[in-house]
Amino acid sequence: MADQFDFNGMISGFLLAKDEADLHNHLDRCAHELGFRKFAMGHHVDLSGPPQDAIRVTNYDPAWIERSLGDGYFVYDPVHQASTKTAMGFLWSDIPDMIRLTKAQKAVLEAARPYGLSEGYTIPVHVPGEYRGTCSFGADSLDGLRANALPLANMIGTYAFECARRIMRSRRGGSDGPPNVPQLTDRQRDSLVLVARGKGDPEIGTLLGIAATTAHGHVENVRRAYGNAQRPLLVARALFDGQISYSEVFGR
Amino acid sequence: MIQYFPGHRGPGASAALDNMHRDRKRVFVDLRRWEVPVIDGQFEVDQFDSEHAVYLISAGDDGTHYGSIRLLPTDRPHILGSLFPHLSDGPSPTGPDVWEITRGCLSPRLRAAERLRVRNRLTTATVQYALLHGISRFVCVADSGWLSQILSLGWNCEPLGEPQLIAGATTGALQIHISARTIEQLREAGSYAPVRLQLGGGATPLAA
Repeated sequence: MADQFDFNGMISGFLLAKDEADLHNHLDRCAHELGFRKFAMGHHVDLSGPPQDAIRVTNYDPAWIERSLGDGYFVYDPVHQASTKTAMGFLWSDIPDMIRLTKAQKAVLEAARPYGLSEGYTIPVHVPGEYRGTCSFGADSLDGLRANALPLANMIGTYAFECARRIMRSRRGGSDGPPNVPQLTDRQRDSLVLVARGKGDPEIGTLLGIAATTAHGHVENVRRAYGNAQRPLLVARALFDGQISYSEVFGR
Repeated sequence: MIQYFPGHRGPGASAALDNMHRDRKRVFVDLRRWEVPVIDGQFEVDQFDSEHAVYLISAGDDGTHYGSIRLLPTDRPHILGSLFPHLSDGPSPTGPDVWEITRGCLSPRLRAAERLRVRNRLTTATVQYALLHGISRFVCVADSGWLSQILSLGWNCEPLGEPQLIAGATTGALQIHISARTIEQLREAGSYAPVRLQLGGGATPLAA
């Protein structure tokens, strides 16, 4: 029997999907066609209290999802952290080569295994100005993957993400833009990087060549743009959504 | 305003073109580490930069480069047809109405918000250029990370074949269908930016 893998059909399914249910079913089908069992796709936002417009589509076991949210795994999710380091797809088994895993992070990877997530492949998606996101595919083993599965998963995950953006846009009635990382001025952003490096307002002022009160004003404007978040949460959110990068804060 | 330049010109002929080749060197050679030829230590120029190429450039009045793309005719040697034909199921599309988009380059000096604006203006200009010149399709070879940005522009874009892993990056051939509807698709995606398209090419006046 001929092995009919209809790649064009996979892609057009995403171009034609009308709503989240369509997208979910189609992504589920594609995951299985590739030899995976599990998938999760969405924006990287605070999953315990996501902004209205964040996408999240997944067939992960509800028990695992509940545990991840309840135990706060998503905050230091190693897959998420690794995805900020690259524009290319990566296997979960590559993660130890990409980031230094903490004990807690190793525990997350281990805890996920019984939920069909022993192995996986994640595709980072970054549309400039928007929250970063990923599309992940999981399986008990990579042995069941079809030939060329990883590049195919890469393209499928990217089309799936664009499909989700399109659906959300039409749901919003096309009036607003897509979920935006707060737009900061250059000075506000510079101040935010320095806050992330642990500087107080007077030092920020000195480093940027402005008065301490001006520096304070910039940081206050950034806090307002992030819904009045306090400084520690501000830094976490800005790293999380890609407004500032780890390398800017910690240096290369 | 976006200028279009029919045909490659050597250094000195146009500030906008020269600065484009300089930024191409910064982006493709210095940043992305492509193995492509560099002239004079400053200009990235390859075998497809010929009299048949068309360049769309967003530049300042003094020729400062903000962003650009290079269009290549498909009935002559081009990247997909000559270098990556295996990325297409069956023969890659060719014809007077099919052109290839290559060397999409935004100036590394632009801040994030500016990058978005230039990107949208260049994309809109490319679609306008296509509609004016009877181009019904663009093809392009895209690697990891770029596909999501190309798709997010909103136009009708589909793969020409299964992607492959090339030099560690997922790489695929795409075709972008251009029609009367395409401008509306850009609008729906939020990437439409009204722009004036103008023939470029005041040659730099020679010293008297």
